[in-house]
Amino acid sequence: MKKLLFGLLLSISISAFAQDKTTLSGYVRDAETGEALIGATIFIPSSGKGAYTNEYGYYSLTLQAGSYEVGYQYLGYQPRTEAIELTQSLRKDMELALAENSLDEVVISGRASDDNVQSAEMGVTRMSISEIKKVPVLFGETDVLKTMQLLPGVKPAGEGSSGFYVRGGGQDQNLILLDEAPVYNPSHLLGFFSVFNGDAINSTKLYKGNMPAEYGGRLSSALDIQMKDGNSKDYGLSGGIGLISSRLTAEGPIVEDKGSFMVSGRRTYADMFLLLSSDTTIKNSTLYFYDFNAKANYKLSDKDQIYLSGYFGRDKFGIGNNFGLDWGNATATLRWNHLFNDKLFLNSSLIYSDYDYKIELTPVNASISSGIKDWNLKEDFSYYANNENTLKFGVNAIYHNFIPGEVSNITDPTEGTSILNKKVEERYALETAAYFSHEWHPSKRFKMNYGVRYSNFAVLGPGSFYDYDAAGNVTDSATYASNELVTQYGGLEPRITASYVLNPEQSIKASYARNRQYVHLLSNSTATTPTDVWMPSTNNVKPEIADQLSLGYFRNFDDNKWESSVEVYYKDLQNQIEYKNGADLFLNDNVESQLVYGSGYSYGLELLLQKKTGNFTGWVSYTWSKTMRQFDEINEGNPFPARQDRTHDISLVGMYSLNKKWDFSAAWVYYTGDAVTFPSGSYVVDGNLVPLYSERNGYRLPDYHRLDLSATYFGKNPDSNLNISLYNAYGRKNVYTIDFQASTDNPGTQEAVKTYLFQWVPSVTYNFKF
Amino acid sequence: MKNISFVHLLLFSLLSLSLLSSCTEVIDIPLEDADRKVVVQASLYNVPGFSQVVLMQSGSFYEPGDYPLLSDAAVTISDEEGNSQLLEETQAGVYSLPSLIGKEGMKYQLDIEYNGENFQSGSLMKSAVQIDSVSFEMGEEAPFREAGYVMQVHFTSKNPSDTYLKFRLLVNDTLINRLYLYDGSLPRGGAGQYSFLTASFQKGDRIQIITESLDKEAFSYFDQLSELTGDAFGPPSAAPANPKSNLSGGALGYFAAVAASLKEVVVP
Repeated sequence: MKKLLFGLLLSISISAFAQDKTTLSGYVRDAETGEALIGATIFIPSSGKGAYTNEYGYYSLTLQAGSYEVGYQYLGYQPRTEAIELTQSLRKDMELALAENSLDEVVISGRASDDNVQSAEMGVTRMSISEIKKVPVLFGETDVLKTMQLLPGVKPAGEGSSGFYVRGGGQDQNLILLDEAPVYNPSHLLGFFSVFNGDAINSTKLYKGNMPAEYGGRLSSALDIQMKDGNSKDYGLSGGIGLISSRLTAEGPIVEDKGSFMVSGRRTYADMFLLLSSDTTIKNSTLYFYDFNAKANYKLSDKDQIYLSGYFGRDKFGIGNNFGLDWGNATATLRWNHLFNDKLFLNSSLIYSDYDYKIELTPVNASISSGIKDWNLKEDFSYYANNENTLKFGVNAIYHNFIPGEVSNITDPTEGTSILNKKVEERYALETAAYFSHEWHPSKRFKMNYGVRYSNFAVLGPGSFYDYDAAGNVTDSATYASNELVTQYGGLEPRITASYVLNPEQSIKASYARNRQYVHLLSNSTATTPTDVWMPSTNNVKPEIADQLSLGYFRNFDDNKWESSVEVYYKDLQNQIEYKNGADLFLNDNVESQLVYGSGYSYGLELLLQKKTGNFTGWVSYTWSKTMRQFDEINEGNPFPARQDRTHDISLVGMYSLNKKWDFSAAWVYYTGDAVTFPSGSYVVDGNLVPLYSERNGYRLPDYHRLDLSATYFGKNPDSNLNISLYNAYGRKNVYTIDFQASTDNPGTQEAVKTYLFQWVPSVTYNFKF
Repeated sequence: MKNISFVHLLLFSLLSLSLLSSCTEVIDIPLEDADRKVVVQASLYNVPGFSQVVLMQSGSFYEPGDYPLLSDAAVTISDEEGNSQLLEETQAGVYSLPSLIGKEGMKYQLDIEYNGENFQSGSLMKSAVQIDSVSFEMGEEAPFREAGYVMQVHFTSKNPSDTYLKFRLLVNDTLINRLYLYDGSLPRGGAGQYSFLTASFQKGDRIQIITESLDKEAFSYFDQLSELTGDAFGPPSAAPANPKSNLSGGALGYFAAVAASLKEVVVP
């Protein structure tokens, strides 16, 4: 493959040098803060050629020598057009100013944003934080993950949850990256908040399964979140004060226009409400989280820039003085951007990621802990050969350390006997990958991005590994020394997306991608609980594999003011994991004996109609889908719907700027209730009433729907505002869970009882900026 | 007070706490009635008078109680030495013999023929486990129990990690319908002890503790059953399923060879 890659590089380089061409390159940034604008468009109206900035705001465009009108634009910013005389390659950094307010119709010179039609991308959504901030959410807290759930093909894991399912995949099949560092648990407070603080985020991009080859390791999606760099021109302090949480962000230049920093912190104080309880146990309880984001960058030279970013967050729960649970993520990313020349861009990253939880039982001095740690090294090259060819290639190595569970209990104060120290063996693995992808525009109408990724997963010692028979009994075992190879898996992951532009307003696209996943989350509940355990592929657990085929039709209307798309997909899943009935998981050395393996498939239709500019913006999204699983040991081997098999899923989002003082927004969601298992009969064993189950997930929860409203008032300082929002405005008692119990009204009979969480949740947040 | 259940219990109450703001409401969920299935409750004891096989059918969920008893079945229990006994129907759906007693260390086979259907199972009678001592400790009121004494039993078994116990409690001659299960294969500090965390006792209560020693398969049935009867701690499973029966032929229920011992105490 190396030879092929080299040959391609060479041929493209030669073709580039053979003509009298020059390169226009540089960074596009926010004029006020110096923040990189990711995905900004650079285009030449006369020739129709164009480029986008990468995740560091860098672009490179190859043109014949000559004079050009070059347009720079980014959603929500005033576009700029520059007359540029190109006699030789030119470095041109550009700054764009925020559109003064959204009332001013953004006039786009030459061409409006028709990227959705033109680009060789599908199943992708980009959102800037300014868009995300307009959408109403629970507790008034800007939340990337919850806003993403309003898009077609992306579904919430449950009421108020930041967990999500993409095109029928599991929650653990989403690759969630914060400045390239994988985040293993994106939830705070059992999912009601995501770990992503809106004030610290620049932009987000979500791939729904057809990721380019530079992403890998998860089956269903890649969510790439970039933190803000911080204002490189001026010091600033901003924040928000809300009913249950507050935020504060400080940013400023380290050396003006050379480097900047950003520090952002957040804390909830939901536990204050516990003090209102009359129950002393509840009164003495704690329930809060805090998190910090920090980032610094420094421009060493015109060709070199380094970035250091980190995240640290903890959740704390406690009941009385008896019990404590705390968990959280920590990530750190060190990056070095280097320009070899105006066409070849290299990003090197060293990444650390850690997720752990700890339960403490104070009275018996005991604790339980579990987690996962990653060390990750990446080399990513972008080669902007010419306007028809962009190459990306690179390598990646991740050293995983899985800590499935540990209990320590030193003494028992009352009896001083029985010491318990139990640790499930840690696991180690090296996940490596090499990829290359080629974005190729053979003609104005036809574009494609194809590539391949080769990934390998080596399970390493030290440790003992077991073989099991069908009943879960150990049949063989082997012990391995440190760094000794236990077993390995690997394979190619081809990816391709192609688009054909029918006319400037219409295009059709197709894509295929294969993804492999070597790490798996074991979870038996629908809520994101901290006790879910990550585990690697091993001699027993095979890597999960997904193949996804999708087709799309993209159409814009009315001068690209309205964008619409229709996408259909089919996804095939191999080596899916479920628990055996009655599985014993807790601190079980042989947890692999408690699992069963099967397959799955899902298919669906996704419609999106979106208006991105003007006083009124918003979108309508509709998804029709089917998601099935099949396991020989479950449901008598018959396929059954996955819990997240939601046939219909609708989101309506509208945002309206009335004037300079007032913004309003509303969101309405509707989806088919989850597929769940309910009893179909009963019997008695030893005097206990036992429910009888027939089909797995054969019943449905009632349909879910909800309306959220929000109003924002801007004062004299347009950066400060007061936001009032109402979650679940018409107070529907949406089902969170259903339990069956003996009826008190009609003794001798059973009844169904639903639990609902949030009937109306008003919130008020004051956002400020100095 | 520190076995694994305790941890699960706390975790569960934690989850409940997090849902403080939640509310509940009775809701109408239509359920389809599944076809009636045969339910077998078959126990062979090492002491006289307890061994019996009960055959019945399942019923509807919302209106439980209508479980037809199954008469005229041919029920046989045989041991590995080739001794076979055909049980008599002593009352509708209940099959037994006065002489039916199991021996520790013997493997038994159950055969049921009913209405053209055949159900079979095997179970090993393990050694009985005796309770050496019982202790009580005052416990505060908690979400899962009332204030009162917590009882802890102490016992020794030949092979602690292969010890599976099911306790039955009679408090002042009333049987408590709850599954108390001890799994010796789990990592635990309290090997050889078990705390009845959800029960609270008062001074003077007379408690009879029946300790039933089971083989792994039969125990596993009750372990899975406890997930459905609400006796297991922890959040309810996202996808509940019928406990895996150790009977072949598609019947629900179990066959257990039980080595039992009795201990009687009065709360001091």
